[in-house]
Amino acid sequence: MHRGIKRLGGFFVVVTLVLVINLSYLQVWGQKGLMENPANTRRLVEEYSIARGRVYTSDDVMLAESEETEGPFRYRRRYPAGGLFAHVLGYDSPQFGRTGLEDQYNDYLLGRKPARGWVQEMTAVLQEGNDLYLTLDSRVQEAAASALGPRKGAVVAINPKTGAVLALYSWPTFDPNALVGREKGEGGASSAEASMEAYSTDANSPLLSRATMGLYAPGSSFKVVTAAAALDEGLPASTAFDCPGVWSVGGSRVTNYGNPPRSFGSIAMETALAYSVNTYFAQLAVRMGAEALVDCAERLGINDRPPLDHPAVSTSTIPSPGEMDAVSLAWTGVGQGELLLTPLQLCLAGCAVANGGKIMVPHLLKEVRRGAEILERYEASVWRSPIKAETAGEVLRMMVEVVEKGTGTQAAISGVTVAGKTGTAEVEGKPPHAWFLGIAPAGNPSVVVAVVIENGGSGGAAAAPVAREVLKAALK
Amino acid sequence: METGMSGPGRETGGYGRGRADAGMKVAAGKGGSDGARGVPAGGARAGRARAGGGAAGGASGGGAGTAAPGTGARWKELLLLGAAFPVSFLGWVSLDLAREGRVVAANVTYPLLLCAAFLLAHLVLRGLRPHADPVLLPLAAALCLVGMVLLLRLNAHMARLQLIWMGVGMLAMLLLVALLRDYRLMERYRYTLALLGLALLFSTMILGREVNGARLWLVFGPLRLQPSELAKILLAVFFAAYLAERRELIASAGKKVLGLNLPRPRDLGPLLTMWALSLLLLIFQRDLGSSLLFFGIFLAVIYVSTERPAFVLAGVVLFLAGATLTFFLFGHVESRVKSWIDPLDPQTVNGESYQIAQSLFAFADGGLSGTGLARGSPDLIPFVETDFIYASAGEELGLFGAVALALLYLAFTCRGLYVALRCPDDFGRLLAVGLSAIVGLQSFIIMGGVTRLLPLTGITLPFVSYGGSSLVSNFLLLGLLLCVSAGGGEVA
Repeated sequence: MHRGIKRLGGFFVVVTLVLVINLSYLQVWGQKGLMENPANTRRLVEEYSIARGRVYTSDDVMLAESEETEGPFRYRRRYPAGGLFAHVLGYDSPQFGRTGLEDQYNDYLLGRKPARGWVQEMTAVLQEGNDLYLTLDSRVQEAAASALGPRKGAVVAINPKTGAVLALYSWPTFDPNALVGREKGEGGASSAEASMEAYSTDANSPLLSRATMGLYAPGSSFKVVTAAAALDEGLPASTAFDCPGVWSVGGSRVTNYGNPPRSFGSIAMETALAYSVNTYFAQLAVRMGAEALVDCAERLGINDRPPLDHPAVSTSTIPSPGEMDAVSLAWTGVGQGELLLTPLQLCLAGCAVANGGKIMVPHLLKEVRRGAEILERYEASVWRSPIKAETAGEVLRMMVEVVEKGTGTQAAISGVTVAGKTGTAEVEGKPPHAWFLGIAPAGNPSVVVAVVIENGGSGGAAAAPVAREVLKAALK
Repeated sequence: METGMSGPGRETGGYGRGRADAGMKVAAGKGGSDGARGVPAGGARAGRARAGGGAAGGASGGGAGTAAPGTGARWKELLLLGAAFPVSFLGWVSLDLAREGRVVAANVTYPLLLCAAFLLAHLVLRGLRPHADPVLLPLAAALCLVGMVLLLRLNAHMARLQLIWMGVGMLAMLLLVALLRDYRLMERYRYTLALLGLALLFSTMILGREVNGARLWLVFGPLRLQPSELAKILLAVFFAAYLAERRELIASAGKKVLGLNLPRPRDLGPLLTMWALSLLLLIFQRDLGSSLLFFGIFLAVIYVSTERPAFVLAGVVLFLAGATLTFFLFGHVESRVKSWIDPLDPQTVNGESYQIAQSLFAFADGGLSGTGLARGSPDLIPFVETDFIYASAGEELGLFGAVALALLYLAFTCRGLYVALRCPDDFGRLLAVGLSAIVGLQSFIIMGGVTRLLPLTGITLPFVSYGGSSLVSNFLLLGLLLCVSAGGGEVA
């Protein structure tokens, strides 16, 4: 019997060994595969058992909070402002994941950042996240929304001195509350899935943040860049060209607006910018050369992703100098070449003009707080210094003329000197995109606004009034 | 009536070495966990025995001392208990810190009461059975304490009930130890006990209530009892008595075929009876776990008594054949097997195999060192407090915790087998084997089940899972092992 007992003991030793090997597989080698299995909802359940931090605007309007619900996912996000801030905030959904700031600052919102002391980490269970305070101002955002109305387009407003984004609005927008619910409708499909389906198949792309991701031909608003490039290159503002209604270049021609195209005679840069004279800027571009123009555009951030603290940001593009012949260079100088800009990028170019040649890092986060305690504060910093201070001052001065007597008079605000530039970007077969880049007050700029309205018509008539309302709200 | 006193001379003589020596080798080699080292007979003093993490300890047990018989063993037991106790207090502190951010003084009740109860049991043993094995009680204490911490984290209400059941179980164990002066008494009533066991087993077929697809419960008002828990012990007693009487007949006869010493057809009688019985259980009670466990215990005892692998082989083949048959005949077995083969199948992962898939995710989530108590999400697994408590250990205590638990069971089983090795009579020896096999097999079946090593069967993890019947039965099992280890003729 002794041998039998010992063998039985041996059997149990072997069996335990097998168990331990299997455990090691589950918990060490095979761990990753199991964690990543789509049926594994543990991570999600864990994350949704934490009350995410609230999100506030700089004027203390609450934009997002978590409310307790039934079921394995304990908390659900609620967005009191609905579609107004939807593109900035994004959504936090166990089904569709996270977008926008909900994604960008997930660690803060879940309370994982800033890291706490190790004693606290070891002992206290995370149950509440940290609150975010944004640079966005609800009044500026509302002004942007109401001025834009039901027209497809976007508005970006930035404080050029700090890089703080005051407004970031895009229409059409969506209701994030419709995407975070888990209620089942008839037939077992969740209402959130139905909403998502409707939004993503909508031809108007309501989920697209046009302000940061919409790429448009900039039209005449790009002349600000052409002017800055020329000044930086050493071509003074007094540089004059003869500006007929039609200017021939390389077998093709550049025309001014108007029917027949308006002729201006010999004018300098100031007049050319005020009246957005295509034949002037085409000649200016050809004079300075593709290298100088593209170089300046790239210094302003084009061909580079703007460092906004938001996951959905597109890169604006300009072709390389080698790809441009005289014709395309001329057209690029007037903003009609193979250029694609986001409203955010145009706004940042405006910031360089408004801020003495420096662009601050654009940012949406102002502070992270837990209750009244400020855990982290965003420090303003310079992103890049693309143009000379004198150039910036000169362009700004010329942009004042645009609003005072040129194409941008609709942006004028009584009692405030507003600088601006209109843009009317030709679109084949459809009305042009309307642009406006505004800066105020011109003496000491505190806000730069970029507006685009898809197929909105002329920049001066359609976009400038929108910019005016936003500037007014920001200056209050 | 055979008393079995003729056993030792024959057994040890065959191997040409002393019994104690052989036993020590097993304890040191197969205990495997730690610190088990041989202490020369007669030198067993409390001061020299080392307690290693409360898991296993010194080797020499009762009867080793010469000058003061038994006291050495009890001192060793006290020392080992002292090593096991901090587990629960650490658990209490860490659980409160994780949950509340501070230590809740009131919660000390749980570990304190539990430790006091084990201390009391120790004192009673000191008076009643000074020679009883000193390692088994501390091992059970370690398991109970870990179980209590896990349960306290999962469900406070169940933890309170568990505390009561542990008290009841310990009381039952002490009563058994006090009343059963000579365990060989049970040999005389083998058929009575067997009938009682069978009656308990099959009582649920008539009177039972179906809970979660298995008919395992007897319900008396607020009390729910699972009679199969007690039945397995009664049947282990019967197997031991029956085979102690017939082992020579069964072991010697037969002819050799292909190196295997085949049993005579008529000796296959008991095997076939047990097989039929376990299949009945499987079919009528849908209780794969108990069925496997009964048959496993029987095979362990018959193997030890005859030392003929042919019995095990025949038994395994029979069981697999029976299980295959039920696989094709009954849906619940089929779905269990399918969940076992591919628990992560998208078709079933949120349905039939949800539980096992969630259990695997829990283990993965735990990783090497675990999420920490109260920091995982074990509540995603249905019935985590009973069948799946091992998964919650894997998740929150990690690989380290899960392996430690497995080693505690191995230590308990091997210590039980060590008691068997040292037992002078056939009945006691086979009884200790059967009882050890219950703990070893049951813990392995459920630990293997929730880790997908075996198809999942719903049985409890001894001493750790929530459940009154299970706890009381396990304490009775421990009591019987202590009785066997204390020796037959000993009277307090």
